[in-house]
Amino acid sequence: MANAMFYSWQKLLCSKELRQVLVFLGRVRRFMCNSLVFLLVDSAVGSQPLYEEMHMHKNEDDEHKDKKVKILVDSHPKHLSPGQYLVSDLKIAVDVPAEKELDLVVNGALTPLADTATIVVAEGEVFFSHVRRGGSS
Amino acid sequence: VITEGAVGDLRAVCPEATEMMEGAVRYIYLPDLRLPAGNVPSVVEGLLRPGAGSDGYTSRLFLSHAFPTKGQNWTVHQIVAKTWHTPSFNLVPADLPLLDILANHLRVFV
Repeated sequence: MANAMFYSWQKLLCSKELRQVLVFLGRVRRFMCNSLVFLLVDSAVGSQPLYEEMHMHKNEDDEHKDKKVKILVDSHPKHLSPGQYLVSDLKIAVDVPAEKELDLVVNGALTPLADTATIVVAEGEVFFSHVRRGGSS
Repeated sequence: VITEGAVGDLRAVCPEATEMMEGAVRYIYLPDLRLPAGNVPSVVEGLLRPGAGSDGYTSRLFLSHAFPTKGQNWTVHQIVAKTWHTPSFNLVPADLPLLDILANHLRVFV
């Protein structure tokens, strides 16, 4: 009886059907493992675009804050953040001595700017600085 | 001596600026001189004398139009066969760059 069972079991182990079952189980195992790997990869990679997107927005914000525009001062290019400036502050920003007068070219006309005036720098403005001399007599 | 480079700097605001002489006196002719906003006319002919003259002024800016509400003591002059008007504005040194001389004289028109 025992021998009969042993031979039956051995026959089963060597049978083509069992090998097919084992091969199938092996494939299931690989599939499960692969699925787990994909799941882990998806978890990791899937969140990356969101991070990149957030990072990109951060960079855009930084770029906006750090954005510089070019203006001309005495025919020399100067780069500074766009926005509203007190003329005396603008002089400091573009290395014009405080004692000099700053003129803005408006429609081709030299227009003197008072130190206490405010001016909006956008892009491409043309300035000239000069010493103040002379007066009405 | 007015160099071409000096006149070239002036062309940043007066593209057609050219040097001319009357006798021994040098002038810079500014055919389309634009005045600061609020002046009518806003574009005039200008004649910049960047040096001292017999009138006692260290430099002078003459215009094709008078602007009696700006500056003081406007007078009329005949220079290079043309009538010019100028306010009394003195002590702009002749040794400044041409653009600085012009900018100072234009302060009258703000």
